[in-house]
Amino acid sequence: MPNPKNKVNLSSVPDLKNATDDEIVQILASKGYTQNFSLIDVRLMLGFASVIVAAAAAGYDYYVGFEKAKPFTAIGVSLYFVLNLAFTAWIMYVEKGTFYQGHKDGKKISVSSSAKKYSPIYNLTVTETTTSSKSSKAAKPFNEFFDSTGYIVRSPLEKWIDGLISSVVQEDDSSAKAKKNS
Amino acid sequence: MLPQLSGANLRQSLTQALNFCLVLTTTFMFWKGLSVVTNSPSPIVVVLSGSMEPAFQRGDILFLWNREARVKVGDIVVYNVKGRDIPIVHRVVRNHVSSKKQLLLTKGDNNAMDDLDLYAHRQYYLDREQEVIGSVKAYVPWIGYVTILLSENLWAKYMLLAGMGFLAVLQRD
Repeated sequence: MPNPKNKVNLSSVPDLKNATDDEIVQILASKGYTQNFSLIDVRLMLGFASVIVAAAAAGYDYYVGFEKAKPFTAIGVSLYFVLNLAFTAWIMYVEKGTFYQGHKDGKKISVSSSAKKYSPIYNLTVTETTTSSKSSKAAKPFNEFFDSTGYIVRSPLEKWIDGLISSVVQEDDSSAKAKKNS
Repeated sequence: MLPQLSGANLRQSLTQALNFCLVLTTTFMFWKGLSVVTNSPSPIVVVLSGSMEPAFQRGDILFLWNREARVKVGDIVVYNVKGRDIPIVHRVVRNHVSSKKQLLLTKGDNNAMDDLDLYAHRQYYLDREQEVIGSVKAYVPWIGYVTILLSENLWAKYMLLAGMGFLAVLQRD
């Protein structure tokens, strides 16, 4: 059943981190969480805005020639680097490793991760963002949820994130009872 | 659940497409920025012929500056003859200057004759403002030979671009 396309290069920390992030997104979707894309959308909009500026400057310069287009090219170049700076600042200071935001039963959570270069440890943080902004940070080496051939194994990862979520999300009595009965 | 996942998948594809585009646009914008700063439509050129030997060899990379209102006799300039695409790198050997414009005669160091035959029909001088795209201020020997190979083998250029794009898409960090 494992799809050969999903095989991860066990020697590449970025590949391992990205595969784990993707798997967690799928786990949360299967648990009924609805993903909130606003963080990703702002990043995409900033990035594509700068691409459009570059394309417009390129097109105008190609069309009317260097001399005529010069003032607009200068504006385009400055605008491009401002947008690019904003794009980078967004990723570094606002997103800060957050790869999932979502909600379920009125509770919102934010999940971020990091992995240091050449380090086999995956750092995971789950933050409750509706009210308390309580966050739970944990670290596990990648080998606890990857098998030796490079495929990710869902169950230990799922158990781990379940634990982290329940430690930050205060469930009120009615939903806890409903869960016990189902 | 399925519509949710395809929203995430769409954004993942968009993110990868964006990363690919940003490689191209950032490179291009640096080039255009350099162009604006130096006031030259092509601030970096590759020497294509041996007409300036021993000063410059085929494959040398030249860095141009085009903000001098008047160039001096003895400077090496790059110019495009009206209507032709290929830039020529030669030395200024004679000039006529007035407050309105500067007319130049150029010659390759390694050529027996001056550039009169290279100019357009009935054109006897180059106009510094109209045809000169910069004077050479610095150079790096040899490295431009790769671009000569690329322009003479069309498929090599496409292979290089395809390879760069492919790598950018594969690396997701």
